[in-house]
Amino acid sequence: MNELERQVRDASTHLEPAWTERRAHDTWCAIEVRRARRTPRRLVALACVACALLLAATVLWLRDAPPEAVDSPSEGAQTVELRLAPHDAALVLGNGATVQAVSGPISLTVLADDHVALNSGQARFEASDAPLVVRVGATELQVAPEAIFRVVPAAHASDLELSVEQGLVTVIRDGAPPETHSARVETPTPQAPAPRVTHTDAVPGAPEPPPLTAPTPPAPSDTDWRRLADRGAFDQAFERLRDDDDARVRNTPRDLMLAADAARLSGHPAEAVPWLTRVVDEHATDARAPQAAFTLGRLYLESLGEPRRAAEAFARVGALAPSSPLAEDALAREAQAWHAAHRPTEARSAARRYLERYPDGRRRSAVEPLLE
Amino acid sequence: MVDSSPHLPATAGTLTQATTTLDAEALYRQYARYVAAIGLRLLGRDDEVDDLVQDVFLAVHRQRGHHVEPDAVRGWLATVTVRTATRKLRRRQLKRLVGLDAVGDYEQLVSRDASPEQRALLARVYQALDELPPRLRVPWTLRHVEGFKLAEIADACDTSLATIKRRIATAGNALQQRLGTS
Repeated sequence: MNELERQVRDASTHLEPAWTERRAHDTWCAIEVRRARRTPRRLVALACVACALLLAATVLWLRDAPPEAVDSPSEGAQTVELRLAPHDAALVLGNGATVQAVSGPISLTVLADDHVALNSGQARFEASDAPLVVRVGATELQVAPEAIFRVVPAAHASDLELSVEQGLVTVIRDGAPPETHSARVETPTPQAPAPRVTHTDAVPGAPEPPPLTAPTPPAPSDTDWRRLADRGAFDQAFERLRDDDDARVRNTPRDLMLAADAARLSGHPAEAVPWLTRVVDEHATDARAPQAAFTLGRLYLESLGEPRRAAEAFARVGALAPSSPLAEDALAREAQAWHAAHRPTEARSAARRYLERYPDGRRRSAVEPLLE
Repeated sequence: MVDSSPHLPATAGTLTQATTTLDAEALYRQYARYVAAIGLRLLGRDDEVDDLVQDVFLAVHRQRGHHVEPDAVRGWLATVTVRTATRKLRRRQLKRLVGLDAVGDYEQLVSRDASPEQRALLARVYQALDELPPRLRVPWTLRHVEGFKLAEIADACDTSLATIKRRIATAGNALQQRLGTS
């Protein structure tokens, strides 16, 4: 190795992408979109979308007012308003999801390939293998892939009637915690074929057979990862998160912290990092953000062998909550982490700040040697 | 588009050996940063990294459901990343030939804790790398920036060890001449 190559090798330790949780999330979303568009089935589906929209527009123009394109005042982008009747073909959205009117006409506004607003009427949605967002008045429904549900706006702006047939739908209302509604379709086992129902011809005078009733939906599963994590069953909770296609971590501090706990307390510290990072980066004003930053620092330092990142995470605790009970410990650990990262200048600076702020601090004896 | 991504490493032995099912999302959570880091060091341009990461994990999607040995996954991802980056560098080279390639701002490539000398050095090196053909640039970068072993570079570039050594040496000489170093 010559001198140039040696210098390049040393300098390249500073050549790291700024791979934030937001960037990772956005890139993953782009992958999902590209994946949905690249398979031949999706090319056919997209072609069908164009035909279905053209057909729907033609039918509506012949019978009713044509679809209106209105400027959305909030976004400045064009949206499409459509009306569907129960006998119309299902509308196929840009992401493959379908919408049908159920018992009467519906009015909806297509805001994007994966975002619609239901203005009136009862609609039945079938999501594709991509997520979907449905706005009903002031309420937002976040629809997991493959979910099927019916919804109708109610009289009050924030009310709606929701019935989930399959999958997961999360109801988001301002000022209220998210509500999850789910239903799972039970697949018959080969050993237990569904019972055959036979209808006998009516016999005069015989009592009429009882009407067939729809099966009651199964109770919410007790294997939901949140319930498992709340009970302390972190191994099972993490397994659900990792293996269950329906398992989702919502972008709320509670969900993110719980998922991180499931990961790190089941022996998967690296998997906890993105969730904790998201709390710190995207929910910095939440009371749990300093705790997330502190936990991140400990994971980096004690489990992942990345002392520089640990020092940055501990420094974040002080920035987020300088007066919190965690701040003193975080500053001491920041100094120790810089020392472990072979950054003596930063280590001494953090140690000095600690001793100035906490002259009688409980971590004084651990921090003082760093000044030598 | 022809899928030229390398095939997964074959599992050895019987099904009783420990294997893991390829799960694109799980691999993404675990390795996206790793792929992005290799991509940045090969391409030298942060605004091209996201696209590269997408291409790599789309290739993973196409192989989903296959069983792999856990130890082989990281190396396989590195190989896919190298080949994807090489294709991008070839396209960039074509654009340069017709004057369509924008000059990269390599001063902003490194993190803030780099010294001014390191920042200037890497900027000059990446400008010089832009003038090398990808078949020379990629092995040299993998060796002296990424720190790969020669055998790993040969696998990733799908060529022999002797060829890789020759290309790295050629690239090194060319860089020294361009940068005026002895």
